[in-house]
Amino acid sequence: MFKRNPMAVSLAALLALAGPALAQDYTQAPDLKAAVDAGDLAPVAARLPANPYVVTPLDSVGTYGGVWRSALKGTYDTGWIRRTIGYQPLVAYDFEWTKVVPNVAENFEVNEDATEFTFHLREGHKWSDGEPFTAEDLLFALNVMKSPAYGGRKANGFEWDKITGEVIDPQTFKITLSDPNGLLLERLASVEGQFIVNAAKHYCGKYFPDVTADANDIAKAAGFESWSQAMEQSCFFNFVDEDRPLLFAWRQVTPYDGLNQLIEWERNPYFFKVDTDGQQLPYIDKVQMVQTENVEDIVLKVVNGEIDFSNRHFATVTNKPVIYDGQEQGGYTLKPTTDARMNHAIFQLNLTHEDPEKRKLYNEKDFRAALSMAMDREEIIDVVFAGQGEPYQAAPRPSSQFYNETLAKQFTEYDPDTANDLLDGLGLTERNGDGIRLGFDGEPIRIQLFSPSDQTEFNDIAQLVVEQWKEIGIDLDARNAERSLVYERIQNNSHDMHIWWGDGGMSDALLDPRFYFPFNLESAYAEKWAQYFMKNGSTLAEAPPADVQKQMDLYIELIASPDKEEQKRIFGEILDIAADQFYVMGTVLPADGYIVANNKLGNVPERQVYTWVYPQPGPMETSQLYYKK
Amino acid sequence: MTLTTPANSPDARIGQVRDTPELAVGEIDPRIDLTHGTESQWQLIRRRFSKHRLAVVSLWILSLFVFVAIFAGFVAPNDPGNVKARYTYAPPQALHFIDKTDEGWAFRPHVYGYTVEIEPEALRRTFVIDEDKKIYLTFFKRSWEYKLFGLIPTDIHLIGPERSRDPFYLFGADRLGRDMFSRLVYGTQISLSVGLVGVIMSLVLGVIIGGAAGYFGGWFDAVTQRAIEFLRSLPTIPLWMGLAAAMPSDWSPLQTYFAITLILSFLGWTELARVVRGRFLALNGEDYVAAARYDGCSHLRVIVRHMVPAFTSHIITAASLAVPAMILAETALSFLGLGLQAPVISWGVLLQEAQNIRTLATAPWLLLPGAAIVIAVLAMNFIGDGLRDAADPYAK
Repeated sequence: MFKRNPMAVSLAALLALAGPALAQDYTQAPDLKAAVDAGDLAPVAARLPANPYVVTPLDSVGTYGGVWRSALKGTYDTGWIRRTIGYQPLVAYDFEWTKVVPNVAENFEVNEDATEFTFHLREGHKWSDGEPFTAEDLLFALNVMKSPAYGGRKANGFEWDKITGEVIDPQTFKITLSDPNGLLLERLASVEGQFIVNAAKHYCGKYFPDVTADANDIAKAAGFESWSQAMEQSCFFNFVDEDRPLLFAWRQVTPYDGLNQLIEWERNPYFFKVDTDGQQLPYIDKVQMVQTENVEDIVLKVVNGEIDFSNRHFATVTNKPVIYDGQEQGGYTLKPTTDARMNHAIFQLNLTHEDPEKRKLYNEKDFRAALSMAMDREEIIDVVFAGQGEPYQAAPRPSSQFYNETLAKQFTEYDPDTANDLLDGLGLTERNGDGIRLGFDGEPIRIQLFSPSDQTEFNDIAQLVVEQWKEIGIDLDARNAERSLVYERIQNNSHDMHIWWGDGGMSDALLDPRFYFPFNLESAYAEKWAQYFMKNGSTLAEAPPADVQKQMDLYIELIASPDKEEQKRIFGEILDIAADQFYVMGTVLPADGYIVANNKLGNVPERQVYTWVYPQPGPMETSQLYYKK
Repeated sequence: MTLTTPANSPDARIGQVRDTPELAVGEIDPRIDLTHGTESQWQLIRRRFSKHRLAVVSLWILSLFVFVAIFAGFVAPNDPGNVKARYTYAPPQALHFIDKTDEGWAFRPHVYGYTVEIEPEALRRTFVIDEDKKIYLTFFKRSWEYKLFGLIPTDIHLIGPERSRDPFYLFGADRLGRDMFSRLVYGTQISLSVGLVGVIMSLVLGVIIGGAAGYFGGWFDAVTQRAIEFLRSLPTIPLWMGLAAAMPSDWSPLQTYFAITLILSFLGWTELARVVRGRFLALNGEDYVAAARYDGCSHLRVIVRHMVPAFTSHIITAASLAVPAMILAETALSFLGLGLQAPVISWGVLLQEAQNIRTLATAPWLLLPGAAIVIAVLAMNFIGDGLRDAADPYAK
């Protein structure tokens, strides 16, 4: 027995009103029409679901044609694909990122306890190979993820042992949770939730032993190491198999396997969305993604006008002058994005260091406060960010519903005198010949920081901080290292300090509170406590102190609550403790970012939020992009 | 020791045609050219070298580089690590010597200041040279402190702005507002010393191993030759990369610097060893070497007293040609991000920081270290060329 979610009902009602009014006569792209006329393809009405999703264009109804070009970096840059054409989840974030709306699902219901979620699929919805898409496909994807034997990458943020899927009928799928989770819909709408509509059972079933007994042999014959790897790369997260059926607006033509320089996608004739005039989407014929080796290569392509719509990798503060100057020649315009991240760089001392002396020192809140006050953030803003930005700690953005002023602003004032006093107060008064303070163990305080070499701005910030901390007698040994090395050291818990972007500045703070308490492996300031919270059986796991434990308990309580106001209240408590603990040191609140858009492109959003959980530009519905005549 | 003799001394008759009765005692036969035939080997070498115009010019250039390297702190007007937020990507200022004012002309070196504006849209600073803002320069200016030769603390600099706060960027500023000229000066110090120290180390290795191989021959020669062939057959860049990657990441910049020099010289000795071995083989058959042996000289005496002097010039030539290769190797390694790393400043490190589109498009002066490398390497090659010609002054 479950109650209907009022929001879902009203949306479903709206769609129900909008849909049939236009259903009489759908039109399609000229190339598809030719194929239909030649008898190679079913007519458009037979390819669309009975009740297609009607997209209201951002600006205007478009026309068919053109190619959308963008660039990928290296051979594993699946992130850009998942953010753009790959963002066709079961339920989606709306454009403004205020709520979760139906997408592949025609509508959904949630019970009051947030334990039962029912999704209604569209009748006649088809995969890109023309096979029917049903609730069986959802169950299949969920069961692979749930399977203990599945050794591939799992979607983040789901507790698999608590989720049970059930097929009510081919168009109805029900998820039952053993513990309430008020964030499940957000998870499903995030970039990590796409898995559930990504694996077609009729195609991917051959790689899953529960469906096909000799799945492992089939996977090996197809060139994979195991069935798990085949599932992960061919059906979930990678795009190495161009034959795999999809629900996207475009279907894959060339595999992204490292061998092909150009990854091409063509219009999916079975795509389930139409515009308000009944034209089947997408408008653009083809999507081309060029595999490049480095960011500079992409910048050149942008300036030459070879990127039509993207901000992937290149849209940094450093590159902005060059890209700004190239607008006229390259035939593109810069559109602003609102960065949802709350920090350009967060310095994280390892509070769970293996070395007891370092751990003791780093766990002194006064020590961290002193380091923070010794940072001249205005200088960082001036030098690295051309004066744009604001001194900021690791805290939700001012525009966020979770804004907490203490957490955001404490210890951001540049005050080396107070910092020196704090350090003296800790008893760190002895100094060596170079003026470096001696730690509790009598050794000079030397903090080693490896900053990932592909993030040049981190390195510039770190070099400034090296000089600033020298003033208070702290030796920061900052150097560049390959990104994989940096992460390897974190995984081994052999780092003194880590530096990373401040994710979780807006509503995504709820889903990924990594800087507010030790939450996941990205909480590099307390890897051991995070492992404990994740309960993944790691040998690194270690029970945290009482305050941290309190935050963890509060978060579990938060998840169990379906009420948004209650979630907000509990999260506020977590943030208060975070402000008191002061785990990490933030630097600068990012100003607006930018995205490059071809001048001829229509329905480009004037402004959009930029973050990972809300996979910008995905939720704008990229199938509505078109080339103006 | 010099063998030149004054023309009017009695000894000057050596080499003269004797018994010319028309001449009084002490007089010199005008038919005889005294400037030839009485000079030492070194004088001949110097004469021959001075005929190689390019080599002479290069020697002056290289001397300048070496001076800059030795007195880096004195030459650099700004602290190379000093970050100035206001002047990120400031373009180079032209140096003016003559000051034109209402009172007339005067010798007063100066540069023009900038007016700086921030373009919030394009996220950058724009610099316009402001001819009204004259920044006068003084010689032997006291400003930031450094240690001359790494020992003597001082704060005197060759040149600097009268007011230390004024911007003085002869070669422009980098992305953090650091003075490119001063950085280049400090880079010269590191890059040249890596080249020289590396070559000296490989020279020692090369002379010992190559000399032993050439002198004794036999199985030792066979083994070293195969080893050299093996080392030379390895593609250098991947090998450097492997060795550089094997360096512990917690080494200090100084340790890395020495390790890089060691790596380069461990691979660089093979060439020199070949040259030395070849000379030994050639000289082994000479009569005077055989004579020295039959006289019962020890191996060491034969080598040091009789053989080495015969090819010192060749070694010097080979070594001087190896220096540029060593500098290029360091640059390549650092450019790839495997060699030296910031905060150490070398030409390779500077170029590595410049490898992005932003620099190419908006700050080409950051590529000046490339010009320094080209000039230094060319100069050293020309000098090596001149030395090679000069080493054998009798050759035509």
